Amino acid sequence: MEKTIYIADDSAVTRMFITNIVKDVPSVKIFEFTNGEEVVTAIKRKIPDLLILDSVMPIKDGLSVLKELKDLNFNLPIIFCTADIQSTTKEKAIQLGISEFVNKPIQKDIIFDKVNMLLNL
Amino acid sequence: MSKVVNKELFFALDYLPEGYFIIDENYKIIYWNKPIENLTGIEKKEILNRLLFEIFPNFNKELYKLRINPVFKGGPPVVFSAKLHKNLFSRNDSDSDLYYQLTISSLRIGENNYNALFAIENRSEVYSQINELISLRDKALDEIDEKEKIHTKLISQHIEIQEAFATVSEKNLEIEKQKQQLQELVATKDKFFTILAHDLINPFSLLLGYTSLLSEKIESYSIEETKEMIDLLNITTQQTYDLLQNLLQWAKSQTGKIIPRPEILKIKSIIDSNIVLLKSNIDHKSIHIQNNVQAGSFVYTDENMVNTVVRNLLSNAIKFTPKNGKIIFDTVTDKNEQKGLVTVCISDTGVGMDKAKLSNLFKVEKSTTTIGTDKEKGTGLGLILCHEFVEKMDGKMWVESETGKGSKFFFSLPRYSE
Amino acid sequence: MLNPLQIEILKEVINIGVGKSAELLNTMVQSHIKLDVPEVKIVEFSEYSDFVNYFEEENYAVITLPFNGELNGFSKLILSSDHAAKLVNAFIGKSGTNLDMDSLRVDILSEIGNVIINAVMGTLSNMLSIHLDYIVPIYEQGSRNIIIPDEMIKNESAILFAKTHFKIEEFEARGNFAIFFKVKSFNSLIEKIQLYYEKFLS
Repeated sequence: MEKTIYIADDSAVTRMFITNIVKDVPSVKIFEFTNGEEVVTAIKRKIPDLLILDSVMPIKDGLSVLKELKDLNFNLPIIFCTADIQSTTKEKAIQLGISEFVNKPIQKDIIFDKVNMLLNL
Repeated sequence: MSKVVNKELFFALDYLPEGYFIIDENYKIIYWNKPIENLTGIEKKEILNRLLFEIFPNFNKELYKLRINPVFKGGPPVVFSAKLHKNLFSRNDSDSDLYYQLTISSLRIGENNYNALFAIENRSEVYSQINELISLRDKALDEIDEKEKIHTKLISQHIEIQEAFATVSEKNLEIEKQKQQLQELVATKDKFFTILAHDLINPFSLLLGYTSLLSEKIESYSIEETKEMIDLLNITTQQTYDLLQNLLQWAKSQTGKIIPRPEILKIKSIIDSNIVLLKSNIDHKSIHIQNNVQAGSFVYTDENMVNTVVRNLLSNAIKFTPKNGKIIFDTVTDKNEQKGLVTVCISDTGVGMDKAKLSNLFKVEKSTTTIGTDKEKGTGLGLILCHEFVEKMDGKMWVESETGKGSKFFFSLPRYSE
Repeated sequence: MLNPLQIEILKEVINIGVGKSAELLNTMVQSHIKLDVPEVKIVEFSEYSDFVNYFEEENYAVITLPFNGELNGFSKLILSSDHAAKLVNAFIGKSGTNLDMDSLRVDILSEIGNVIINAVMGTLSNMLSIHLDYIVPIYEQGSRNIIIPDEMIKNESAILFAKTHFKIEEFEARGNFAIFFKVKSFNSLIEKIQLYYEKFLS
């Protein structure tokens, strides 16, 4: 069965990099969003099998997205992928229910492994 | 690619004025220059080849290692400021603050092999000056604070004193008031005794004189003489009775025992009945009297009190009006009408009063007695009583008079209207 | 010049570098830091006068890290005196608010600037695999004229410019981050970015 992954990142290059890594995972469909607002709207319509979420984004940042999803009681695997590597940011994200915290810059093998693991492949 | 530094040249650091030392990537101290021996009091021979955090334990902290480690990979120089890391070179907790501005640079000593050069700038003197300035500032601020406190205290004391003054002057006013009340009281008492001692004794001596004359030698007097004496006795008794009545009423009013009990009264009738009561006095002086008060005027007031007022005013008018004189009661239309009052005027063709007498007419402590036209005695108590009663009945009382031209006494009382 | 994707990569480099510095500053002040990099752009040599005019304040504190090796240039953190004071206060607390003591400010700003510049330069060097050598950092203060190094005015050069906002508790400081490259170095930088891009997508 086909799995869906949502990627939310304001950087086109980062989305491109992630898509490039994930495309090698068998039978996944990828949807890209450029800010927190867009991805929350999409999740309300259809919950994906995995969300790869950036922290520093315009309109609605990553932590706000996590808070909203938690308030709405949405449970889904989330990889929090961020340049803001402060321990305080990580603690907040974990409290808000992320599955994995990944420091930027994006590293191919790390993303690939975590995506595979979280999709139970 | 930066040039490789020859370790043989490290000795050159001994010739620089500042403290320098070098560690390898395992944090082992591999060079210790002369100035830093002086600065730290640690000699080169005792520190060489030992680990940095054995000597300075704070370097073992993760925060420092995290920032220093990139230097061993050729990373940029790292700065630790004197102010934020004053304990970095402390050897134990009891050490005083050491203000060393530290810059750690990368020294390439071979292929992918770097040492770290620590350059120490001793800022202790600058910081001791800064700290001194800070403590001076704090002290100055404390002094300002203290001065402000004193200032605030002074202000609050000033306010307290002012308040105390206000209280004192309030007390003074109160005392002044009490003094006045006391004076009035004394005047009242004096008046009371004057009346008792003088005004009551006189009629009684007269009564005693005539009654003993009559009792002893009634046969020696003619019928006319006897009648004259009895008439005199009657008038004196009448006057004394009036006086006693006034005295009693006044005493009651002074002790606050008189409370007006208002009822609907026809003022013209009250005047008429008082004229009848004093008929003998009126006839004695052949005074012509008229009651022109409107028959339709009703007042809402206390009957006893209004009787006292009318009787006193009438008996005063009789007293000061010469034989064949004229007394007229009338209602007056004035501004008091709008206030719901009925004003009555009693005018006589008597002796009248001067201004000085007028102004003290209703005052207990100033009142004086004027002898009547037929040598009638009075106490002055009557008018005081009238004035007090009229006010108690929510009315007003005033006089218009001129010497030799008679007097007009006015009093107003609440009108009764359906 | 750079294409939009290359600029995006530089933005990501700056973001990651600033994020890394935030973690270090966080441990130094023991407090969460809100960071934002609202703008990253390339300023070309022909645009330098506009660039200088952007700095409207009277006084600036500038921390400079000169670098050479595969690239030649200067990395700078530029703070108006107001914002420099705010940043210093975030580190030493309000006790220093009324203290206009240069030496104290110089020491602390040297370190804060060092943390931010090192994090960004380290990220640039690591991500794009550029070997750089460094000379000890310099602290300067003065008018906006000290912002562009003489060497960069005399020879054609370009600037990678980023506005950075740090919010540490109640202290909100705006800083400007600028890397000045000689034109030859700038071309090398573009090549390095292209290499990174291609390597990633391979």
